[in-house]
Amino acid sequence: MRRGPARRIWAVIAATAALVLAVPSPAAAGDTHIYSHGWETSLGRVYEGMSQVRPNTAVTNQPSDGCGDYFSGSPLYQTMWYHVAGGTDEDFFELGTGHQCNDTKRYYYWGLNNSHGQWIPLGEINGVTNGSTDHTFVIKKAYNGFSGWTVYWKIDGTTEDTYGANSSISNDLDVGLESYCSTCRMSGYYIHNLQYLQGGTWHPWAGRDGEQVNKPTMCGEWYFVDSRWAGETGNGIC
Amino acid sequence: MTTSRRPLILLFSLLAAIAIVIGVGVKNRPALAATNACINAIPHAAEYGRIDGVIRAENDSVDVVARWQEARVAQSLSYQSPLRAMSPKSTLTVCLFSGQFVTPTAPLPDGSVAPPHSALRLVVSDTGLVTLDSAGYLGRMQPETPQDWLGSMSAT
Repeated sequence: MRRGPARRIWAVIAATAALVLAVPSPAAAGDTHIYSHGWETSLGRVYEGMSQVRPNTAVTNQPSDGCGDYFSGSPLYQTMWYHVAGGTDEDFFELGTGHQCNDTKRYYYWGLNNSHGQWIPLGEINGVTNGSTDHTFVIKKAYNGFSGWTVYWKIDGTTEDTYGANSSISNDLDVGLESYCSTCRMSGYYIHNLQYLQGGTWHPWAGRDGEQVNKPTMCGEWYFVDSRWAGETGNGIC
Repeated sequence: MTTSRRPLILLFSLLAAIAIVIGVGVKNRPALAATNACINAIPHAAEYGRIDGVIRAENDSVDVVARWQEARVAQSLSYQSPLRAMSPKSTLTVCLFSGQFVTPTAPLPDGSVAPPHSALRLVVSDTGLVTLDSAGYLGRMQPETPQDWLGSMSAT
């Protein structure tokens, strides 16, 4: 091997080593990964859309990382998942609120998981405000006749994004809280007016079909058939 | 980063760098340039979690990267990549990293916790702009790069 290329190899190796050593990683990046969520599945493959109403809730004790990029640092995601039937179990559309950087970076986001389980972000809106004000989040598919199917992501009645889509609708609607932060605390918040869309008409969830809560760090429980509590309170109580 | 992890991370990254550089061939300057771009993006990638190494590095045109992005969701959406807003003369680098990341996942079908993503893919422009392409699991990021996708298209 000639001396020139060998020097380049060692330069790359040295650069890699220097960068890896110099770059601090979040101390618990990915080590904590917990949920509080509940789902609606009892009617099978009929759900053309889903809707929830909830506030954007403050986070305390969150590390000051993830201050630049979305989906980074030690995030909490208040979110919902519209699982698409007919694909793999990993196909879904998502719409939520992200909290990062000691809860100074707050944003709405939406995206999808393709059939290989790859999360693909589609859009974000920065500058979300925490508080008691309720917001309405909708993911829905609509058949437009000649144009075929369209998927919509809507927040407070505003269509934030829309794409032409295939005809697959959901058999599994899911709402909740996802956390990558063991020190974070989020008071219990009320998710209500849970609805599904069928035949172009909205209906309340009716099943309390299932829930999973990583207690005691997370809390969560059904309040009524179409409402539930979720949070990261540290004691399993919302 | 805990002290105990650094030697392992350093060793893995060194092995990955050696494998990538030797694998692409020392005379393959474009591949080396792509690798360098991805290595330079490691501090950015580390915002998303723990980086274990650079798995793939590839330079492509804006058009090829955009078409590859669009093809990956074509089964679900009629989607136009936002990269099409860039100058078609730009060169983009697609970087695939291994590690553990804090990108959004969804609960598994039985309601249990999904594992954190183990693969992160960034797109780096020739002006240094870094954007998140996707995240997922090692071994399930196909087509991992635009050239992989083009190769699969020509094979069918």
